[in-house]
Amino acid sequence: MKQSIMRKLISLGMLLGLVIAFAGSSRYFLTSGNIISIFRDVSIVGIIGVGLTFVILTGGIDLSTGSMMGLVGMVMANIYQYTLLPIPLMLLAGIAVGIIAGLFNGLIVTRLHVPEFIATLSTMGIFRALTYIIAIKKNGLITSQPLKAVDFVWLGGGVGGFYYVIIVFILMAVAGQIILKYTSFGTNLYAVGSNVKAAKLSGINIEKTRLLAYAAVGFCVSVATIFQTARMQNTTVLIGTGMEFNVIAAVVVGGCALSGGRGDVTGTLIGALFMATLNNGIYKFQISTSYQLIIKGTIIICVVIFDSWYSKRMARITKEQKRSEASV
Amino acid sequence: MKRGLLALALVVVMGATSLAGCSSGGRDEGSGSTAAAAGAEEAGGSNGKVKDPYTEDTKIAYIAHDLSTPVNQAWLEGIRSACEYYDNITVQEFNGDSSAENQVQIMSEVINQGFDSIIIQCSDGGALADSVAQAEAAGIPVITLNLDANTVHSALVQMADYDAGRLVAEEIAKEIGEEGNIVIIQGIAGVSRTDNLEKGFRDTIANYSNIKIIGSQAADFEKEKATTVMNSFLTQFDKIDGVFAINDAMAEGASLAIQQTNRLAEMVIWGADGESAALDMIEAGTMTGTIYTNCWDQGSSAAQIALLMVGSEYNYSVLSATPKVIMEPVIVTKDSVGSIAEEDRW
Repeated sequence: MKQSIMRKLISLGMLLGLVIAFAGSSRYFLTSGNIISIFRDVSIVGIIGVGLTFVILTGGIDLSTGSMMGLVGMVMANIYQYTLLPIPLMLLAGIAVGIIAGLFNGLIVTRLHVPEFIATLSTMGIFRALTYIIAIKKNGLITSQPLKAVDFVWLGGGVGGFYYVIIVFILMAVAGQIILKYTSFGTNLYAVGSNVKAAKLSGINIEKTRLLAYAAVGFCVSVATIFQTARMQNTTVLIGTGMEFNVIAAVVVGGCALSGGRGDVTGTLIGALFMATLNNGIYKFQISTSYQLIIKGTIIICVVIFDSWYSKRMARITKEQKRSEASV
Repeated sequence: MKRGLLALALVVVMGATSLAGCSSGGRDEGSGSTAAAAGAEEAGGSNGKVKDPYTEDTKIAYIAHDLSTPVNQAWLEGIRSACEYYDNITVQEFNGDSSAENQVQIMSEVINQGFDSIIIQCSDGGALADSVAQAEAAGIPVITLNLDANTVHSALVQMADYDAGRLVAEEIAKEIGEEGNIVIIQGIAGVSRTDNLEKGFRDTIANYSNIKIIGSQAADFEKEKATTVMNSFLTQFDKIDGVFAINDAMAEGASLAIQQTNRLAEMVIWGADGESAALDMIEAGTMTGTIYTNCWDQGSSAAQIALLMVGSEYNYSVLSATPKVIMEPVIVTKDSVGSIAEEDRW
């Protein structure tokens, strides 16, 4: 069996273990309302995770996704407050801002050759600062901005108890996986992450590939922001704070290597589900918040350690197989 | 090529899905969460299920903005102290980690788990409005602490904020002879307590034509950030007569910065909340004053209101506005700090 499939099965097994543990310890866990709630919570992280998977596959990182959410939300709020532009145009503007912000990150990395960690750490601050600058003020003070148009808030709802954000997440995950596995862009992402020199020698435009990956994150962030603000019927200067770490955790737990070249959207989906299930289930124990954090952190460390051990073991097995084939 | 086009088409469909159904034209703002409204209409004037919270199993959720702060810890202790005599009552705390989105998720969680009442310090009143409305519609009374939700709910138990800002302004004006330069160290922009305190302060200072607010800067309620902000003010301005920090932690940070430049004698330093560390600094003379609120009593009051609501037949839909309990603000200076008993310091 292929290593990637085996790794996913192991991730699924860990998720199943979590589900069994929580279902056994709380009667509220396996209720339809709670399951829908988990999927609703996973969708925002998952939508951003689809785009971030592209970036991480190239060996890059993006720490600015949370701040980007703030900027996209506040641009939409300004359009909502100060213009009579119809809601679809407001949404398109939000998506455009997300893509531009993503491209901005990509340009700093590819044209100015600033390491991704530093570049996106800087833009994390820049995007948040821009959010504050354009924040709507009442009587001189920044206030949160209601977004209550009926044309907009329906996005935060659903049909038959199934939220629209879940449907969009599933569709985007499918689209993302198809792009990764069946398009040349997807192949280029893996090639750049696996061996950038070899990718360059084989004629792949490294800069364009990375730029497009960052643009994809920007697009995904803007879609996630639309649904998050529709759910809250509101946006604030602080929206998205800490989101980058939730998304990175989901992508890494799902099997994406931070060094690049390994992973896919399916793994990210499983990772996001794992994190959302963990966050949801831990509340059921009714223990102190501090111990909740210890338990969550310990589980995540164990998963990452396992992933590291598994990768090394698989690499060793592959090496031995190649050696034995060569000797034959 | 074909696969690329297929993938691109799928991506476009994804983007279009988020726009589908949106009609063009002006804005039509609904009256609030349709689910919440429907639930409230069905419930009518009575929530239909009444339990005795003092004998039957009762769960209260406390959702903090940031559980690590002394204010939140004191509220939690107050809530627990109101319930600890009754073994059937469970109090479960949740930490919002200063995030409205986290609190929205937690609200969904506690509603699913069937908690009997929710006590919450809303990180953002607008963002939490729908969640609070859903909880009320589900028959779960919501009591907010300090930071309100922008929807009618069972009760708000708050420190005086606008009035506290007004009192601080009057005290500072008195102490500096109604003339001089003042700086403000702000909290987190957009948080209602920050805004109301500052508004009360600014509105009152505006009555003193010889007092100028020469600088204001946010330090996000954090002591370390306030030290940095105050250092910046001290290098920028030769003459500062008064400092108002929106909370005591920031006032403490500001005081540290001022002490390090040996300019303590030049200015008065005021905070708000009444933390025990601030009271100690007032006694030591390194801070001038604060507005004290007994946060244990505040938490305890919220819990007692919650239990009252759980055990009553009332429904929030009969309310046209959220009923409020406003805690007494106590002006604390070096002369009066001794009147705050040790057991009342949090």
